[in-house]
Amino acid sequence: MDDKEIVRRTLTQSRHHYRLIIEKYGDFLYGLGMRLTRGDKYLAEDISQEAFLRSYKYLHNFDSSQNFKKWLVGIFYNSFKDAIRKNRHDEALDENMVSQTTIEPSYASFFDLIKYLTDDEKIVFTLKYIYEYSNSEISEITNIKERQLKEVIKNGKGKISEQL
Amino acid sequence: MNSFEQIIENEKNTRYAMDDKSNFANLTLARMLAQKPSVLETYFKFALLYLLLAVALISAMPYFNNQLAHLETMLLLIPQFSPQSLFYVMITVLLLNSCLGGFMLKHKILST
Repeated sequence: MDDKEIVRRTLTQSRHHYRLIIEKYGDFLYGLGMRLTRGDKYLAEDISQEAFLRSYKYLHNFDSSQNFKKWLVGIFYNSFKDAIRKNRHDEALDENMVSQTTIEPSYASFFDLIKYLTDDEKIVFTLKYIYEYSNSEISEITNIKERQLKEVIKNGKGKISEQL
Repeated sequence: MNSFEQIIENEKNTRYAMDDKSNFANLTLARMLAQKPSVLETYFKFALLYLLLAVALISAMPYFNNQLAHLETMLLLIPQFSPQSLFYVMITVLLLNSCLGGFMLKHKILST
């Protein structure tokens, strides 16, 4: 069953059909969350859950001519930004959480690479280089204009080059 | 130090999976099913509904006045109220009703 059919059934038959979407994209969003939070698995899971809840809430706004996965990533992007904003209220707690829940240092290279990037740079960089989204797709997901996006990429790459 | 391309390539090949995907799906679904309509949304829906009703009533006022006047004379139950004041009483009752409806929806006594 494809995504659009699941969405249709969720809206017209039963909300329980949405479980298929959660199972299908759970690990995908979690992986994106792990990368953006630099290995904080609890935070990655929370953001993924929030993204699913929001996507369900706004499911009736989903345009079936669009790609569902891309739409979901857009919602995840907003959930990520909100979660990070909320977490910054308590930097000390955040530091503790990261030290307690980050995964093994074997993955540290990429996490080090994006360490000094801003939230926007992190997500743009990750979507572009890890998930290979085009600039126009990233612009659609993040609502950052393409011209501005090039600046974000340039700044991000600049910061990364300094570290290598 | 690894090169940029190497790090990206390694990261692309890294697969992340939740510890317990089934539990995650259950919890998410449970939270999803427990979602209540927001208070603002609920009150807005009711306010809109009653606004429409009020507009309909105002449009029907000439007929409404006549009917009430007949009732007044026929039944003598409400001689002290003019049709206008009765109309305002009705609107007040409807607004109170909308608040009650909103409250019931918020607390899931009613469902949308």
